[in-house]
Amino acid sequence: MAIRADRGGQRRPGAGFLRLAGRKKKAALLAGVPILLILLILTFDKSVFLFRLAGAALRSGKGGRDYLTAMADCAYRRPRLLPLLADESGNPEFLATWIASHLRRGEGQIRNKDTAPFLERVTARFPENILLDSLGFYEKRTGSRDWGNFDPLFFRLAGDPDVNAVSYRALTGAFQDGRLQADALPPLLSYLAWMNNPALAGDLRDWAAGAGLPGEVLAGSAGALSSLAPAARINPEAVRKALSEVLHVEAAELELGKDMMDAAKSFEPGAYDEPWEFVDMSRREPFATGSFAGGADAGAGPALRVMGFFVKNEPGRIPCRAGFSRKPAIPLGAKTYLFHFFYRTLGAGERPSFWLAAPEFIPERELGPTQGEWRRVLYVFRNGELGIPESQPQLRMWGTGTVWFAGIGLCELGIRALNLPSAKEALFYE
Amino acid sequence: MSKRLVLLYAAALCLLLNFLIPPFQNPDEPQHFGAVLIYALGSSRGPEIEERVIEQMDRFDWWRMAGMGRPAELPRRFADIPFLHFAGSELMASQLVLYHAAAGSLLRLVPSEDVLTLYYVCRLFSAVLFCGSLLLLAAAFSQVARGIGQTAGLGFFFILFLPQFSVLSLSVNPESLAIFWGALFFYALAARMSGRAGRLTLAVLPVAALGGFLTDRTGFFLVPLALILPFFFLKRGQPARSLTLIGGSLLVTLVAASWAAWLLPVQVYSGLSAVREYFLRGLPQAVRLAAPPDFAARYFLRLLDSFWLKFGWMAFPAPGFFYYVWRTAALLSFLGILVLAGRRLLGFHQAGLPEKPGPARTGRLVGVCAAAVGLQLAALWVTSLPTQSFAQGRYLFPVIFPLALLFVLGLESLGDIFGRLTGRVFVAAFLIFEVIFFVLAVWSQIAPVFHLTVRAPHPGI
Repeated sequence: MAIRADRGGQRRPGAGFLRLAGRKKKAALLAGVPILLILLILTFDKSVFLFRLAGAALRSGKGGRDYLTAMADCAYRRPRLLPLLADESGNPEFLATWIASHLRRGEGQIRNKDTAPFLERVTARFPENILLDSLGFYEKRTGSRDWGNFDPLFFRLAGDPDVNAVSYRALTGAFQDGRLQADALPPLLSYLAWMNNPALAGDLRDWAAGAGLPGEVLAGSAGALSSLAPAARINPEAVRKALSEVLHVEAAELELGKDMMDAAKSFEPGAYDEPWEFVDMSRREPFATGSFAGGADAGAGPALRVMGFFVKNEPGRIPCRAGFSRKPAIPLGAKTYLFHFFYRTLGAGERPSFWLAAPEFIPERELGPTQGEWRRVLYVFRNGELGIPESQPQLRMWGTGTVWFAGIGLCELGIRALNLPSAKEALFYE
Repeated sequence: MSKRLVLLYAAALCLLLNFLIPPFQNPDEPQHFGAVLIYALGSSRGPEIEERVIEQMDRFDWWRMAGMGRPAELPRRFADIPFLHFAGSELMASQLVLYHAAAGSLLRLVPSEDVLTLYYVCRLFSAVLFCGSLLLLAAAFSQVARGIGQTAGLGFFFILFLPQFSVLSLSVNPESLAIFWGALFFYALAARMSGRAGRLTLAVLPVAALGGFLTDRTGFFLVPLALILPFFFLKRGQPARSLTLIGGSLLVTLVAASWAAWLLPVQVYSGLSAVREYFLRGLPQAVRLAAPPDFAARYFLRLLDSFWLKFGWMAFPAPGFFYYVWRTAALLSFLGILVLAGRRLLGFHQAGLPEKPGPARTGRLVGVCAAAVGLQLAALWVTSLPTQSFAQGRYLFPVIFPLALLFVLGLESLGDIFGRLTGRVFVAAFLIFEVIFFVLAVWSQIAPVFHLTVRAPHPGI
């Protein structure tokens, strides 16, 4: 307990070290003001860091993009945070932002004593990533790898213009030394165009032309991509007309219920992909190894696009595929339904399909390739006989290639229709 | 009470309790000590550390004291021990609270890897923090005694002889550091409000708040308190001065927080994550869930009783009579605080109650103290209600200064209704009762339970 006497001789218990007076006070002010100013200047970026960190830590949704970018920025500034971020070491959004933060500031050497343990986890999660290899993340390279087995982190980084210098160096190097085959280039250019990274696509195309790659490798990689989904044919009247034609009945005899998936909305920019989630059934048990990318493709309609880059047949594993699953399940009654959508394949080798319910109710239906044409699918099923309680439709692709889906709808089909197929379900193409 | 006397008393008490209380007989000590050892010896030795700590727990018959039989084969990990399974030392170390890091750094200076030696060094660290806290609290109550009145200053003796507070003086867990930050904060506050301290308090308050935030969630209340505190410095007729003070205080807080986040990002992140986990997620549930009346009653009684005394792993209470006296005193004090507030806010003196004018700053200090206690109680309630778990009285020790001040002010205020000196008599009577109880608790409860019984009288927790 500090007890002091003031000038008047009065004892002041506890006044102690917290009060300055006289010369000491002046000296403290003289020294304190400039120190405070310097401190404030030095504090600015720390305050920004504090707000970013607090924003990230207090956010309830840890998987959100805002959280991941804020946390990546904080982890870049203070690598000591990395050991806490075990989940984030497998998150492409986080990693891409974190890596891009280094590259933007010209820091090519990301591996150091602070980051090494974290990078071990990253490379264990992404063992065949050409871009990570180019950045020197793989310290010990053992055995052969499928470098064409692009992972989600590769896709995220390749689409990021901030990483173009590294991507260009890594990809051209891989094509030159044979780790990537020439036929991997067209889908890659297509992907880059889709991701709005024309600079890297242009550089790679120029490099390929200069390197003397065969002309057919580059031909047609972009032109066929720009075909827009037929938005004008999605309204109920067009669906009714198309169905009447395939069923050979008068359109007036068909009674279509309200669209349960709001197909019209599927052509509204910014809203069409909301209920659809990209599901990649590869890279995890029990599926075989494969490389897929998927998401909204505003430049095609808008539509949903899925691309298959690489598949590997592995005995004992289920063949891989990827596609889109509708997030909220749709309850079904004992009625007849029409499931309809447009799809389009880029080439002749793709294997698109759709899935409405578990195989004990109804089998998955494969669709034929369209070689660049949009095709409408009309699928009628009698749920009174099938007994599907609810449906969470999935539109997907097996193997490599590119497929688009658009204008997806599901509605009840009225009983006035006289010429419905007699089977429990029937598939028609318009 | 002089500084030397306080130190001498605290040192003697720690020495006595060190002999009386066997190792690991304070709540959560094994896991926190394990986390400290991880800092001191390295995270790669986590499993070995737990095994060695469990050996020491066995050596001191921890199983019997905790109310369970000794297992035929010693477990190797805390996760294998009932009611320790929820938090291994590695988990606690991953939370990276300041106490573990500080104690771990201290242990690195010790030229021994003997677990028991390191444990006693941790006890010494806690004892030093306890002595420091007592000195700060004594200084704070000296300020209060001069500013408000001698009776209010007696709050220090309420703390000094509070049995549970003394029992925890050697506990190897973050609360010892959280109590220290609380004591520093309220010392600076009391000095500031007494008008006897300069602007340096503006720096001490946010630093103490940050320390509390980085130490344990029982110290989180200091952050919102530090943020609202400048508004208590408002002075009538001096808007420019008041605004300068508020602005300066908030600026210092921002600077301190920014540098803390920069230099201790892991700790700050862990603290903020704890805020999200414990408070932000629990708050909507606490608001939505109406507490069952029986739960609320049991919750507050258990909080009150364990604040008074429940030593060991909350296993050993004192005879019931002492709790009834304590509960009655607490209730009377609470009523007294209402009377005090009524006098100030509603003018009860006009209704016939005797007016008791005090210095203008009394109201402000009481307001801050009530805000601190309210914040801590609300935080405990928000974290307890969703899981219907019970908070322990020791969680209130970081707010021991405002609690003690409000307690004696409440008793005095209620007593003053009956006569001019009755309030002081109330306080003095309670303090005499407390001292008697404290002596009885040490010699007729703590010593016999740990040293004179062959079987724990309370078989379960």
